[in-house]
Amino acid sequence: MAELTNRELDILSREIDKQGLTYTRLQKELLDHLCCDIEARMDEGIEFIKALEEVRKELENDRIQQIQEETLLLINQKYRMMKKFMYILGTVAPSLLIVGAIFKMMHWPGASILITLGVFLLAVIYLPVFAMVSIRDTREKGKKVNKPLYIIGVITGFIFLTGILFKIMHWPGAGLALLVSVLIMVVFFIPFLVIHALRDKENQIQNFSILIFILAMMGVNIMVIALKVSKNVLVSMKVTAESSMVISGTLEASNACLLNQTSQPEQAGIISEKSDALDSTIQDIMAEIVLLTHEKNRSAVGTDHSIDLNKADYFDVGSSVSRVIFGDEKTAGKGEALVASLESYRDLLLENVEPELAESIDQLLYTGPMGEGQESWLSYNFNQAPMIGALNVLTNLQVSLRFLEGEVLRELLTY
Amino acid sequence: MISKDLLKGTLKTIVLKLLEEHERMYGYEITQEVERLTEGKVQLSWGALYPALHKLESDRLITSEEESIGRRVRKYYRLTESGTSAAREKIQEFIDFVTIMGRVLDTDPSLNLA
Repeated sequence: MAELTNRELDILSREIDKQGLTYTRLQKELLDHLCCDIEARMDEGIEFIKALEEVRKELENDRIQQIQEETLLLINQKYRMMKKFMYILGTVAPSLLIVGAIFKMMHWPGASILITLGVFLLAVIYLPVFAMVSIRDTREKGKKVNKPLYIIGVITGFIFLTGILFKIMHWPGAGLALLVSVLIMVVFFIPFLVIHALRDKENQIQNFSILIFILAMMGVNIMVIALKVSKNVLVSMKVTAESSMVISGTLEASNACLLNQTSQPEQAGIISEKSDALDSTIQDIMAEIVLLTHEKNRSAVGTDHSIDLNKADYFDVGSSVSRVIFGDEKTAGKGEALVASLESYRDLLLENVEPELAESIDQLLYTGPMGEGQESWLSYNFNQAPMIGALNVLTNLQVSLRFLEGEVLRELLTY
Repeated sequence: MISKDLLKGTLKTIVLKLLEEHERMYGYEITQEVERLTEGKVQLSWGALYPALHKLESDRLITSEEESIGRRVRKYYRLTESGTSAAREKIQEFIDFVTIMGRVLDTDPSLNLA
């Protein structure tokens, strides 16, 4: 049995070093293997240098490195931890989101934290870890890794999830983030994915379902962007509510003039008094709704309960409306009382007017069942209504009552 | 020569089987033994063998011990307890597979591997 000299061993050692191995346990083992191989050849009478050349020929260029890569891939502990971590995170993050969504629905405190944490874990940690694990899995199977697909996928997913989070939390920039993620998806990600799915025949079902899922997500994304339209609706509601406030204020002033000119001061006085009472009842309800919607709306409500909508926000929030109108466990709602005062006010007006005006009164101060389902007036107008929607209904009532007050006072003038 | 694809799935079984028969073996010895047993028809490349060995080791089916041979270090592998039972399972599984494939491919019915 031939045995290598120290010099020859050094040559082989350098040969292995040249390949750039970093995993020393494998390095020693491969050196021994190489030595055995060459010794066996030398036993057949081949010179060292020739044997080395033969062995070299058998090893294609980066073969040793590949062995290292594959070995590390198979045994890497970090990778296994990562995979485990991915599974745990994949369970925890969506659970947080679901619990957060339930909290949000029930208006329990802590919903925002849960949702933010859930989305953060998904976007910042789960997505990159998933990409890394998936890339290694693909390599382990000896297939080529479609790196651009993963990079674009992670970026798109990150922007998309951030956009969703911003949207839920009412932070600025949500619309832009969602739009950008849709653009990247359409322009880069989906074409890449389709090409990848067509090429990868082995995992067709898997790829197909991922594609379907992505397309569905895109649908959701576009819908969320479309929610911006509802923002425009909110703005137009705000404009209407503002002008209603101005009109009712003007009518109130002109009604005061009418009161001074009336020939029946007693009757006119009662009507004016009742009108003022109902008007301030409605104003109080509006102020309470605005204040309850969000702490930041405090500056929008004056001490006299006048409302400055330009200082208010959270127009789309509906929880305050249902709390004030329908009440909650602790306090009774003010809706029923409002309906009662509207009805008694209507009856008072009807006692004092000609039939022509009675029709308008019935129509403008109607509080009976509404809509196809014959819903009660209260739930038709206020159930699940956003703050600005409720304000719209209420300011309109104020305009109606001031208008009718004026009409009735005018009739009293002509008598 | 047996194709690499066919060999890939059975490499671990071969290693476990050899280690079951020999108390301990090192990498080069395994390739030589396989070559001898198959009369040169199966040549394990070290690119296939070492990753498989390290994988088996990280799965704790085999353990290793290093021994200095002059200035070289030789790494011997031996079966662990769970490796021994895994070896039996894998071998049985493979025998079943070959028997079934024999039926499917309608080869010599007298084929007896057990």
